[in-house]
Parts: sequence; structure tokens; C-alpha cells
Amino acid sequence: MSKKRFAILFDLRRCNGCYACQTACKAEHGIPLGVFRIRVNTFEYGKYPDIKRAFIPTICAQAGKDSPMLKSCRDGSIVLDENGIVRKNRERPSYNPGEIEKIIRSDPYGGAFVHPYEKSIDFCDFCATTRNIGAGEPPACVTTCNTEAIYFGNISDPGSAISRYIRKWDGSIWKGERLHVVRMKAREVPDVNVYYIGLTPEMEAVIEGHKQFDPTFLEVWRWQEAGR
Amino acid sequence: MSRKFNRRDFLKSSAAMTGSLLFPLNAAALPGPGGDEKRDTGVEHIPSMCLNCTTSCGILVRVKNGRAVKIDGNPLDPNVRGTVCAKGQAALNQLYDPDRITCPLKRVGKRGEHKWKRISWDEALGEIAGRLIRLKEAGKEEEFVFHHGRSKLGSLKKRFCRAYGTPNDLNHTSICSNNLRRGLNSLWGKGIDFDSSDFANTKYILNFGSNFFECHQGGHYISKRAMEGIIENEAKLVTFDIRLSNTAAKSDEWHPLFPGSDGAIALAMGNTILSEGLHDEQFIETWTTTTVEELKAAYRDFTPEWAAKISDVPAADIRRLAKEFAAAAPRCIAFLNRGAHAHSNGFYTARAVYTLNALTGNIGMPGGFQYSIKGKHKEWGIRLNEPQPFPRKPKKKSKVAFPPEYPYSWVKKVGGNNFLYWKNAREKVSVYMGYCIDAAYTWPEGPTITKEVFLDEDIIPFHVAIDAFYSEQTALADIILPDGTFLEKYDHDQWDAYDYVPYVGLRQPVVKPLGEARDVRDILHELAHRIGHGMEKYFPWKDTEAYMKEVFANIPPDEKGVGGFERMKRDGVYVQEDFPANIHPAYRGKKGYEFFKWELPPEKIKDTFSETITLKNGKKVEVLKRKGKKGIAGVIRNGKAYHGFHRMKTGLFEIYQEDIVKAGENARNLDGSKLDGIYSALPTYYPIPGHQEVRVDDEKFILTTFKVNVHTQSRTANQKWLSEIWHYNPMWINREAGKRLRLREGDEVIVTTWRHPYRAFGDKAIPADGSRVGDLRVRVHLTDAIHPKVIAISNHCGHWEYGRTATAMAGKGDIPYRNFTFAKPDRDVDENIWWSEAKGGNGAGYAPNSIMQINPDPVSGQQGWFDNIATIRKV
Ligand code: SF4
Ligand code: SF4
Ligand code: SF4
Repeated sequence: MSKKRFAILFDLRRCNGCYACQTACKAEHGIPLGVFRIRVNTFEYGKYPDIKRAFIPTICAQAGKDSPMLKSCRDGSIVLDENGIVRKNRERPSYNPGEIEKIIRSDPYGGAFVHPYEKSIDFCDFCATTRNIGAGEPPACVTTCNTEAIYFGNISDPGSAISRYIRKWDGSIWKGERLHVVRMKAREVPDVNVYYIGLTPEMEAVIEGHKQFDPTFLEVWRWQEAGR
Repeated sequence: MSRKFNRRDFLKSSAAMTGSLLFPLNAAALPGPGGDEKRDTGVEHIPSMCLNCTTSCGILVRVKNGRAVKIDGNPLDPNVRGTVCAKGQAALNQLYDPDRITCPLKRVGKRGEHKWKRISWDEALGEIAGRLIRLKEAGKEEEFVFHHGRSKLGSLKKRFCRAYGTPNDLNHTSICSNNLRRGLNSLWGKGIDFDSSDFANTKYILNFGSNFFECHQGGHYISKRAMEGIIENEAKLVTFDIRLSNTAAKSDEWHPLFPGSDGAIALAMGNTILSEGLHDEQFIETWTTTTVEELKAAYRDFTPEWAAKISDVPAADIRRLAKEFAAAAPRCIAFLNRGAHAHSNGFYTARAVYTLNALTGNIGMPGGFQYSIKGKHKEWGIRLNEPQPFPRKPKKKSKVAFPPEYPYSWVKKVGGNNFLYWKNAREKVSVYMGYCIDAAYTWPEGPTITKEVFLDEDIIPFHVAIDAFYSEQTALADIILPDGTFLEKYDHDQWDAYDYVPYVGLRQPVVKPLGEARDVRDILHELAHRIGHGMEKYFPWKDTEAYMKEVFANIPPDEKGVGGFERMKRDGVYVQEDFPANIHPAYRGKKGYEFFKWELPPEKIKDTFSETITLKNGKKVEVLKRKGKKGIAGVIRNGKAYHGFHRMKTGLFEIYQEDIVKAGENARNLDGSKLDGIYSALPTYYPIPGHQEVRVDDEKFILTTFKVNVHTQSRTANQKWLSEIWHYNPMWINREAGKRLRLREGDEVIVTTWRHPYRAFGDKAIPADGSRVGDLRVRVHLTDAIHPKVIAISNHCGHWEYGRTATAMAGKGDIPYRNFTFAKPDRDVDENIWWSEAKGGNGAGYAPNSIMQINPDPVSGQQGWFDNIATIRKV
């Protein structure tokens, strides 16, 4: 088996915006109000009665050694662990606001934030601190998704849940449309490990403006603002 | 069927494989901020059942050093298969709500003045028992009212009320799902009051006003299976709803419609199916109480053109969808929930929608419309023990519990009217005990009429609240008894088994009750013993654990010899794997499909005699009965004995239902006069009073409410992770309609609602004079996701009590019993409610129920929530 590369996939056909993943993550990691490791973006487009609503969960892009945050971090507060997962270094967290800001600014995905109580940087680490990811235990958001919209695993292993799911659907025809497995901004950062089925360029454009530390994305008046 | 790998499986398999080697020590050096860690040392996983909504999902709670730290789904629960929703995830917030009530409180100021002193359990229960004893000794048992909201007490509350002798054992079903339930059991039989169709195997779902991806009792199970059907079978989902719910958003087609017209559309689809010959003649003739000929005549005038005029859904679409639906038969489902049935014509809507399934013969079929087999079924499910003796029905009668205006409301009663009845002195109340109920917030006209009734000590002289939270109603009590949250108490529970294999579950304490809180079951047990007068003999067990042990005594042992209560405590659920072979050996290895076609084994026929029933429409049916037994033992069709629809007196699916007509003949106002509601044996439709006028009046709208995925009606707003997501509920109005009124996003308006302009059904107790119900000041949200004649304000928000998270008063207000709380502070609640006005947010939103008129369905008594005639004025 080649090198481990953990990845996550969101099948937007199956996502109904239920927020279970977002809430599970808050519970698993004790994330305070106002900030999110994962969030479910809702956005509406079209005109009555041809109005559509889409749900797009977003997390840290987990770009492995390509990670812009990892590259910009000079004080060792972000590390690449034995499973190739980028995570904050609990032994050496950075409390230097200048350093933290620099790292967050380097993140093109809006996945990182400052933990309001710990005052250090925080972002999705595929639950590497609380679950035994290396041994195949899936993250908290994955196990609770009722409609099975999230898949996780070592994408270098063809037998992993995520690899099997991608093989099953990539390029196939479903309800008259061809499906594609895509990654966000993969052109800019080649090693992005967050995959989607059903992500359109419009959705990507909307999400670009969102940041994990702006909780007002949840408010109903922003749903359609994004789509117009 | 896929089953996801989850934590518990993982723990099991990893332990079996290599033990703790899978959890290397260096990993344990990195504990998560929540205090969890990878290694499971000192950590227990306790199975129980969620009750953050009524769906009752099996859960596995991670408990560390006596503190619950994470909730996941229980993989052994066949309905949930290891997942929980956002509310389930956030239930920890309920348990550790810093503002919950943790010791008995007694009012010291005026009622509703929020002045409390701490009292002992002994004093609290002593005073309550004293009053109840005096009432009993005076022979006025009926003046004791026990009123509950989300209760899973099951037979225990019935036992308590009966043992005391009061008929006023009141619930909240009629403000919730009564039209659906009564509609279904008018077709299918007593106790069969919720469908659980085969969504995973279906090809076509016709959804009338259910938002199962966000709410719907059992919605968590439906979502999972419907998505499986949608993805794996490319099933088509069609939704009729006045608003683009998330379910409508995930549908292949969304058809916005004028409120309360769902029934007309369903009838018009029936008309198409019958007139184009797409119906299942064999099913209708063999298994229903009607005939194709009779149905054709009854449906003749319900044309798609007629329905289009009422509903705004084009006739061509109605016709096309009806044909698509019939073409998918038997792998198709037509079903509904509150959006369609919580109207004052909703009973017949439920009958019309459900009947579509009979027309196409998909009932009980794989991928079709199905009623599941409940674990606790007497005939064939798991027999839970009911500790004996069990008290008989009290002799006393109540016209509040059983209003003579609504003889067909049946056991679910007419709760939406209760407070109006008491206000009008229909009956006297001496002691009102509320359990887990917040009628001052959740009832129609609750913030006005209900509150007024509670504030009037002449109407309610003594008010006891059993609740863990300081709700709008609890705040109006004289004594508050702190209940445990669902993570601290026992229940036997289950929901319909969506895979058609019965199961039962156990809710058990995962941690000790906080402070002095107590399981309500213990409270009722002690009260019964304190009241005495014979009541105690119906509560013979030592404590609730002993009671549960008796209830689960019949659970068979597993291969290790662990059975009964012990097995339940270990697994949280018991699944009756041998079903349906326990009914007839011929069904071994099959699923619970088409059970009405199951032939009766010889031992089930012996001692029966046959009887021929002739219905008023001329249809004859031969049923099997047993001497001295109510109900039927089976039904004869084409010379063979079948199970049939065994809970109906005819053994058939009763599309033609005589009892409705009979009930209508018996319906009486208090003065003895007859009512003139529409009581029809066959599905029918009538418009809601005043609505046709609204359709053509530019000034008028219909005001409705809706639910979102992270909240229940009233019991979740104190949960920080949920209220963070949904706390602000501006009024939705169609963008074009809003422009006409010169409204912009966030503008403030005053919404005024008006009572129905005339009394259509002759119920003299309900005002219908076109007068004003009330005003509500709200902000607006302009959206393309709603019908132009509808405005909608979600539930859940606008709490004026329920603690600081619910009211978004962080940093400003405080709870009035702060000095006597055992709950620990929460930094998030103290500092970080970012949506509070103090922090520049939108605040806690609006509570619309003050302007939602009391509006019962004339047949079932279900509250018609979505019929409010409204006008809007810009501030
Ligand atoms: S849990 Fe699943 S369905 Fe729910 S929002 Fe997350 S990805 Fe979507
Ligand atoms: S993988 Fe873990 S940390 Fe990342 S979003 Fe999911 S639950 Fe949160
Ligand atoms: S659906 Fe209801 S019972 Fe199930 S996890 Fe969610 S809140 Fe709990």
C-alpha cells in the first residue's frame, strides 16, 4: 500500500443541511460558540417558483505537506502528524497574535480560526486528537451523518470507504446527469484532501466568501444574499 | 442495506483483534479540548434513548468520570443504525444547561412574579399530597388535572390518573398530529396511527406537507431510508408545501400550493387514477370497505381542474403526477404530515392522501405504504410486562377531556381548546399538575389565553409544574418539582420499526440526576404512596429500577444467558429477530410485508365463529370472532382466513368509514344543539372558512409556522449549539408580495390576525366572528422560497423564559433562582451568546403563537395551525 493519505468526501446529493456534523464536531472537541471546525453553508438561487436551496459543508482543506498554513508556520505550532494530517501542536501552541494572524491569512479556504478561550489557532484535524484515525476509526462528523453524505478514509487504499465510494459514483449517470468527484481550489493547492460530489463553480464562489469565524453565515437572510 | 462503521463497532472489533494495541500510548498524550481522549480508559459507553424530540433514537453516551461527554447513535438500534441528528448531538447542552432547575421551589411572591424559595422534597410532596387527599376525600377527583407535553411515561401516567380517579389525563396530541393519527386509524385500525412506509425500497414519494428531512416524528428514520431510495433506486420525491422546506429543496419537484388545499389535490389525483383506469381493482374490491364503482361516483367531481382552482397547482401537473405515481405502483408512497393536515379540514386531507395508496394497491408492499409493527404490539410484538394490579377507568366524566362537540376525537382529545374551556368555566379545576409542558408558549393563543388562565387563581387555584427547565408555563407555577432530563431517567420506549422487525428500547440514566432533580417516575410513585386511599396498591414496586425490571422481565436471554432488564441495560434495545415467524412458521426469513394477506395458522382459527357484517353501502364481509372477545380474529376473503386489517371491525382497509357519520350524528354543543360539521364516510374536501376570500384579496395573507431541523417546538432553545444555528426567525414573505408592500429585508411590520369570519361547523365554544386575534411586531425576510399568499414565522424562537440561552439575555438577565442551583456555570452562556442584542446580534426572535387562533378540526379536534387570516402593516 502506498503512503497514507486521509481524505473526506461530501456527497451534496445526500446532504440535507441537517447540521448534525457541525454539532457533532462542537461536542467532540468542545468548540465554543461563534467558531466552527465544520459548518454547513446554505445557499439559495433562482426565482419563485424555480428556487433551489443547496447545502455545502466546509472544513479545513487538509492539504498535507502542501498546506499553506503549515508552510507559513514558523514556530512549530502546526505539525504534520504520522498519518499525514495537519494539526495544531498541542505541546507547542502559538499564543503570538501576529504569528496566528499570519497563519490564518495564508489559509485560502477560511478553515482556521482563533479559539476564543485557548487563544490559539484551531481547525479541523480529522478528529486525530480524539479518535484513532490511523486504525480506521471514522471522525465524529462522519459517523453521525444520517443520510450518509460524508465518506472518510485513506484514499491511497482502494479498499477504504472513500475510495470505494468514489469508484462507485465518479463519472456515472444519476437521474440523467453525469456525476463528477471534485475538489475545491485543487488548481491552487494540489494536495487538497476534501472532495465533493455535486459541487458547482457557483457554490465554490459563494463559499469563498465565507470564513469559519463568521457565524452570521447561519442567518436566514444570508442564504439568498449569497445566491444573488 | 448499508450499515456504517461506527465507534461502537470499532471498539468491539478492535478489542477483539489486538486489544489496546490499536490505541498507542502516544496518542493518549493528546487529549482533546473537550476532555476526551482516544484511549477509552475510565470511559463508559452507556446505551439509552434520545428524547430531544419524540423520535426516540437509540444512543450510546460516552461518560467519563461521571460526566456525559459525547452522544452517538446506538448501532444496535435498527432504526437509527448509529446516527443521531443535531439535536441528539446537542442534548448534552440540556443536561448541563447552567440555568436548569435543580431543587424544589415554592412561589413566594404573586403568581408569575418570579419570586421563589427553596423547599425540601418532603415539604413539596407533602403539600401536593395534602391537597390531593382533601380533593379525593371530598369526592372531587375530576378536579385534579394531569397535563403533559412530551411524555414517555406510557402506561404510568394512565395508572397514576386512574388510580387517583380523574378522567382529566390530558395530552398535547391535538395540537400536534391528531389529524394524521385519526385519519390513519379511521382507515387501518385502533393503535395504528402512524405510517412508516418503505422509503428505502420505493421508487416514488408523494409528500404532502411533511418536512421529514427537518422534523416529522420518526423523520430521522425516514430521512435515512428516503435518501437510500433516492440515491440507490433513483426514487422521485415530489413535495407539496407552501414553503420551500429543506425537504422540498431536496425534492425533484416542489409544488407551492395555497394553504389547506392538499386534500383537494389528493382527491383530484384519485380522480385521475380512477378515471384513467390506473387503479388496483383487485385490492380495492378484496381488501377495502368500498368498491371501484362507489369510488368512481364519489370522486367524479374532484377533477384536476377543480383542484387547480383551489390550490394554484396546475391541473396538468396534478394529472401528470397522478399518472407517474400510479405507474410506479406498488413501489410508491403517498403520505403527509402537519403542513397538510394541521388545518381545520385536515382530517379529510389525511384520509384522501392515505387512500391514494389503497387506490394503487401499494399498501404493505415492498417500497410501498406501510404501517410498521410496533415492538409493544399485543398480538405479535414483544410482550412487555405491565405490573399488576392496573387500575380501572374512573367513573367520573369530563367535558374538557372529552368534549361532546368532538365524539370522533377519540383518545387523543381536543387539547388546543382546554384553556379556552377553563376560561369559560366549562369545568372546575382545583389542582393542575403539568409535566414537561409549556402551553403558555406552545399552545394556540398560549401567550395570551393560556397565560391569562394560569395567572387567574380563581381558575387554577393550585399549579404544580414538573419540569427540568424554567419554561413560560413553569414560571407561572406555585410549586416546581425538578424533573431529571432524559439522560437522567428511565423509560421503556420505541418508535415504529422502519425495517419491519419489532424492537423495544430502554431509556436509562447515564449520569445521576443533577442536584436534587428526580426522575418523574419516582415523583409519581412517591406521590401515590403519600396520597394513599388505595392509590398505593397500584404502585407496589420499590423504586423505578424495580419497576423497569418487571416491565422487561420477558426479554429472552441471549446466547450468554443475559436476558430481561440486564440485557436491556447492556444493549439499550432488544430486536425480535424471529419475527414474523413467531406468527406463522411459513413466514420464517421474510419481512413484515403484506401482513393483511398472511393466512391464519389453524391454531389461530380454532374457537372462532364467523359473522357477516353488512355495511350501509351494501358491501358484505365475513369476519372471524371469538366468544367474549371484542374485535376480530381474522377475515375471510375468497374462502380463506386471513389476518386482514385485524384492528378494524371489518378486517378491511376502511375507506368507507361509517363511524365518522355516526359520530357526527352524536356531536352536541353544551346546550344540546347539533353541530353541522361535515361528517362523511368517504374521503371528501371542504374549504376553510374565509380562505377563498383571501385568495382574491391583495391585502390579506395566510399566516403559518414551520419547524427547522435543529429545534423542537419549545424544548431546545436553551441548547447553545442549536440556538447558535437558529435563534432569529423573521417573517418569511414572498419577494414580489413584499415589494408590493414596499418592504425591504429586515423591515419591521405589525402582523394582525383575524378570526374566521363565520362559524362554519356550528361549534359554539369557538369564537368565529371575524374579530382580531392579536398583533405581533416582527422583522421580515424577503424570499423566493414561499407562496405569494403565505407569510410564515418559524416556531422555536421568541422565548421570554427558559433561561439565558433561549432568551439571548446573556450578560443582561438572570434566572430568578440563581441562589439555589446546583448547575455549573458555562462560559459560552456567560460570555459568548453572539446573537444577543447586547453583542449586536438579532436577539432571540419571535413567538408567533399569540396570534395563532384556537381553531379545531370539526371531526378530530386537531388544532388547525395554518389557517390564520392575516394583514400586514409597516411600522
Ligand atoms: S450531517 Fe450529513 S446531511 Fe447533515 S449537514 Fe452534515 S453532511 Fe449534510
Ligand atoms: S473530522 Fe472531526 S474535527 Fe474535522 S470537522 Fe469532522 S468532527 Fe470536526
Ligand atoms: S431525531 Fe430526535 S430522538 Fe433522534 S437523535 Fe434527533 S432529537 Fe434525538
